[in-house]
Amino acid sequence: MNSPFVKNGIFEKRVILGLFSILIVIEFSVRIFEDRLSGNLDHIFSIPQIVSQIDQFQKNSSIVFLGNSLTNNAIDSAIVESTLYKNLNSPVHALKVTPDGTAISDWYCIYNNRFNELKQAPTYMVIGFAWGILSDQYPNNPSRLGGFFCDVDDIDDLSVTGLTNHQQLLRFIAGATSHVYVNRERIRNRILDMLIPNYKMITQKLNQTEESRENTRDARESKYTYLLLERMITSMQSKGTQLILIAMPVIEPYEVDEVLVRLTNKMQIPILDLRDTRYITDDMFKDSIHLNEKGRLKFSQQMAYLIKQYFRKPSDSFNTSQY
Amino acid sequence: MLFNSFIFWLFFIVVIALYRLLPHKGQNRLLLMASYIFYGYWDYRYLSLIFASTVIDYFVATGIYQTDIQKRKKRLLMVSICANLGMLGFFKYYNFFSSEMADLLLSVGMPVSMPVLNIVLPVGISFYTFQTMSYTIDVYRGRTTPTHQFLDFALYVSFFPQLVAGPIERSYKLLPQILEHRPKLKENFVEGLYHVMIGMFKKVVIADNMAPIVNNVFSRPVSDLTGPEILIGIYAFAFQIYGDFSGYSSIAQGIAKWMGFNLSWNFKMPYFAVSPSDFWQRWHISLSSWLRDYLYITLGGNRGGNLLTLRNLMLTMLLGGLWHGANWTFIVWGFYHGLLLIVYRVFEFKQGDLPRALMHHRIGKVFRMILFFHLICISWLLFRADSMSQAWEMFVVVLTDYQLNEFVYYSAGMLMFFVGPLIALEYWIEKSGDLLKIVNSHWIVRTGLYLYFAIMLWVFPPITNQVFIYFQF
Repeated sequence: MNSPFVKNGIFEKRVILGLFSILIVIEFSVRIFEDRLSGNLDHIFSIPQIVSQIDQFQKNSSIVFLGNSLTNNAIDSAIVESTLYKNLNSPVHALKVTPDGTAISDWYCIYNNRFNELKQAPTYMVIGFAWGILSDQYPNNPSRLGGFFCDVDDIDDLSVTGLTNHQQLLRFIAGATSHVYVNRERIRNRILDMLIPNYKMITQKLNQTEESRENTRDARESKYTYLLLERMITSMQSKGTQLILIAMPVIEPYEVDEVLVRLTNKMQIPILDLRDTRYITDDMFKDSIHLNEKGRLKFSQQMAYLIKQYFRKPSDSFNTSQY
Repeated sequence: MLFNSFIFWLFFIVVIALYRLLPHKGQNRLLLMASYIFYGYWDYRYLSLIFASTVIDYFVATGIYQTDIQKRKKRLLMVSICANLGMLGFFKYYNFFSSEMADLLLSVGMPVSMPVLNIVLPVGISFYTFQTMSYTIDVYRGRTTPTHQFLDFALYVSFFPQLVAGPIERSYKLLPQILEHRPKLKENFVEGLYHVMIGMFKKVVIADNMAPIVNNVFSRPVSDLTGPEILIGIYAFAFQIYGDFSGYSSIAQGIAKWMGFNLSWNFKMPYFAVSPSDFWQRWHISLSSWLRDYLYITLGGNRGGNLLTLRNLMLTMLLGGLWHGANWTFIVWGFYHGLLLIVYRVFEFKQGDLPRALMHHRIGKVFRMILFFHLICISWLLFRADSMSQAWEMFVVVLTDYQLNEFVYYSAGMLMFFVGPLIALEYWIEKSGDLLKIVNSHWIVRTGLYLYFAIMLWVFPPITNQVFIYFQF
């Protein structure tokens, strides 16, 4: 059965050249068409454009919502703008930078690489969070960081999140090098969704089971630190940007970490606790964590109402001592 | 260091770059150092076990060779066997047997508190102890001449490509390759590349994508599962364990080939087997041949008549089951395989009575293949289940519940998408009768196939990384 020797004595130059040529063609094709792969990618590629609008706004009139799909589904920029205008009698421009599935590492890089070079810093930065998403221990996606949000200079700062672990670092580099690699989950999901019955539904279920198992283990094993957030706050404060954190509503209750509360108290950063607001009911969610249209409307109004108080009296609008 | 991790490939690039610059002796020293780093990266403390095994077997083998007194030879051999099996028994089986003993004593009204040790199973201990034991046994049997080069023997015990999950290499095959100059052949690269590519594909694409389906089925209460869900979970596990283990063996074979070593084929399309003996000539070949040569034959093999042969088969398979782990499910798994071997052996004696078509016609062969695959799947249920009660409950549900649901369609789709092309490829190789069919094909065929592997590896890795299953053995 086993052939005792290999007939092809030649070096595999042709095979390897052929293989790499086709892979390079695929890589470039993905780079050309990747913004069409999903709305989220389109959003990621438009971040520089969104952020650059801040320079065109009047001074002290911008509010940027930085977050992920939790924030994206909960915030309606137009409602926020109109509610604030009604109360402040001056225009406020609301922008959203909310790529899906992102967390503190991604936001740190987005802030460092997109906002830092603006002529005028945003007046307010609002970050929506839940669970341990602001902690250094929250799992990151190294290939996405490398491919979309971070530069090589950020690696050192991100070491607190474990990015300098060789496996993660090499994924970061792979992501920075290959957009096929960064987009692998997206491409995979697109193809399998077409071919496999019930792919989306069952995969989400399997992922949730896996994630809850991971989260339970992480929660048991981790003590959270917030070094990245602290660096971000320091950088924002040096540029005159006020950060506001919002504990976002989700169906399953969660705790806000005391270490985070102590840090925000120390750095005079308000945490707006909207986890369990009476305005948001279970029928306003489209799944266990994301608000639907109705929820978005309610949440945006309520949140803008609270933000507006902060606009008037920066020193005493939010009481974080409740934590 | 896992073969499917970036760090391993960085490590390997450094090793192979230095390897090519060095003369033969330097290459061996480098490989020994690299092997210890490779193992120590997981837990350097357990390097002492490999080292102890190496020292004992080096001196025992030399002692056996130098003495003409049979009794002394035997005593020395016992030192090697006791030392290796002692280490294996302590780290792998102590807790199992102590708790079983406590349960047994309790059942006869003698409650005892046996100490439970919090010990981690050293990775690969079952593999390297078997490999080094085969050396002393072969020296005892006069099949191998012991080497006087201690460091080269140390490399034989710890050669990193096959250290933690095999193939379990015999000294008469691997040791000469270490001791003699290894020619640099371009063919080695061609064949090595094939082994590495298909190995990575089997591990990352096949095994790791089956893992979430398997974990889902085996982690839910049996009462929540339907028969087809369990069945599809077992099919998925059949390909998970095959992809995982044969993938590892292939990568080991490939990287060894790049350094000029020929490792054994550990798998030869096992799911095309039509009988248990055929299966064991295709599945984990290095272990099954080890058990055959050092256990089955030592027990008497088939020399003592039919009944003794059947007893020897059963004992060999029971110990083969126990080798996999300290759990009743593994022991019953071994018993089941022993039973299959016995039933098929009895059946084969009466083969002449069967319709000829069933035995030799293509359709008959396909029927036997499918039948045997399902018999193997029953053994995988025993292998994967956490307990005998879970295995039994699942088996009953498979036979009594036929409710199809969304999970079944999803899993069947995933199996077809990931495993279907592998089966087609293996069928082509099987039909050709040449295990290196791909390597001997036109370069365009290889480019196309490697492109498929590369895209699947780059785009379809699992959501979460899985460790190699056989590391736990």
